[in-house]
Amino acid sequence: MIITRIKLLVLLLPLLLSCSDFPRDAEGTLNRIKSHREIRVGIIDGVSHPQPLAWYRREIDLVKEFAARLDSKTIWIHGTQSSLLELLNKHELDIAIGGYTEDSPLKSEAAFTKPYTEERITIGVYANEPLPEKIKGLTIVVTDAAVAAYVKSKEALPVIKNEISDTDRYAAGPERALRAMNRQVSDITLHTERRVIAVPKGENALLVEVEKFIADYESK
Amino acid sequence: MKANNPIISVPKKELPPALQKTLKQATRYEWITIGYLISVTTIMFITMQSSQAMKAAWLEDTLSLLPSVFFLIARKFYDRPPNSNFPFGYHRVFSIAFQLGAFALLALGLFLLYDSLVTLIKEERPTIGLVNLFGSNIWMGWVMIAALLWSAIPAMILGRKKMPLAKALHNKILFTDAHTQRADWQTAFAAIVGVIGVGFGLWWADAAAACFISISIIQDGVARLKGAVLDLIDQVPTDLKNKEQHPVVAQVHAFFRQQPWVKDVRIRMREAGEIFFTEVFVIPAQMTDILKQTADAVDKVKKIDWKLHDVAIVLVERFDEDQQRTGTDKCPPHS
Repeated sequence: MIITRIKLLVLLLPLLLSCSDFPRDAEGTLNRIKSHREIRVGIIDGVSHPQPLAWYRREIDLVKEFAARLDSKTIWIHGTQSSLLELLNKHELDIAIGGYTEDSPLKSEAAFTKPYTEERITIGVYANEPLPEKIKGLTIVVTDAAVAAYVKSKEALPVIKNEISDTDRYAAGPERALRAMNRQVSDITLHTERRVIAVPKGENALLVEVEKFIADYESK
Repeated sequence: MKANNPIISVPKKELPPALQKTLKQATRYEWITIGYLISVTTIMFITMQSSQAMKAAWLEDTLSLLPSVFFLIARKFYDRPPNSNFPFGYHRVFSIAFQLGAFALLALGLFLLYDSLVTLIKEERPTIGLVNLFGSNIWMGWVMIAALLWSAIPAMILGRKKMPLAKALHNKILFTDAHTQRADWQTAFAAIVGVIGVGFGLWWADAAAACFISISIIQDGVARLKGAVLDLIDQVPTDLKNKEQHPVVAQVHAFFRQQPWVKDVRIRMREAGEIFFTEVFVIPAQMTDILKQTADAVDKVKKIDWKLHDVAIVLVERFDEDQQRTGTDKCPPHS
């Protein structure tokens, strides 16, 4: 009896595997994108900074490339992180970007993809300086309050400035940015930012499509 | 040992040698079951994500650890002989533990049903994306299905192996455990159908499967609770499913009726674990050699079944009509 049931199940599965249209969206979002050749992207309003932050620009580029892959044009709709998720779930948007992270408190409100990038927040020192083992008690320059909080949690003293200058001995920020300043980066990880893209809950075909794209994009 | 100890405890329980081997086998299977269930609950926890059906299956599997654990603890107590403080022995501890376990199962089933219905009403949609496994990206749904198959197939096999052992040992804990494991395929199957349904875009398939699973958990909990309660209120010994009166009841009565020194006889039996306690009320036909007759009878009647461990004979003048009531409609039928 058991053997028959196992056989049945085993027979069913390859049938499903051969369906290229699996999994499907609950509301057919991906099909809609493909048939209308347009993708509605929610994006948070320009961030209040002298120039758009690097991650913001990167997310926009990512979406543009994704749209190109689907041979669709993009329609940009602005909003806040939460209002965009509401629109997503009402199916007024197809995807949303704007600094969503894996550990965001909003993660239960939408479906987040796997992270498309991982950014390590760490300490940067001069190229010829020895790297500190511990940062307790050191004065460290940062450019935003979140990094300042991470620095404080390690019992160091953060100083917030508009930008990190060459005269600042110790600095903290994203690894990529520190390396671009020709600084040496430490092994100490203050925080890991895992950035994600949001799709409507239950649209598993779209989610899989975006995640496949992310996997390809990452490997480039 | 106090010289004037007024209390006499029931004899220490002893399994016949063939059954001792069976007990060892059953114990081994229960250890394997526990190891297996720990692996199942771990794997299911990692893979369940936002699937309501998998959550239901996971909780059920976690609770199913209890009967196996109870059985192994009970084994320790088997070796503890009854004493003056607990002249009837320690079996009732298991009946209580069993009842608590049944209650936990029922409570869990009710909670899951509520949770699943709320999920369905709120139209929560399960999100199942890709996962990177051994270097390639596959749909997490396949991994969930694999985990569910792992939670079902070995369980069915283990259940089938344990069932005959449970019947031979007349052990309700083992029986319930084996019975539930054999039926595990239902839960896993429902959850698999739920995941596949979600794959086909039917977002409600998952919550619906979870509702189905919770209802079956509730049914299971109610059945077990009923069994545990009946056991605790000293129901006449029954078969393992609590459905019919155990044939040994009629056999013991027939045995005593056939004795020449017995004019009339009524019996009263109850279970304590696998052991039956019997009180035999005899109106003797004659009193010659009555001590030897009764002692012989007790020895002989015990040979009918290994479970007849404690038999007490009470000589009476007559039977009270009041004591011969046949009971409520809930009385199990004579087999």
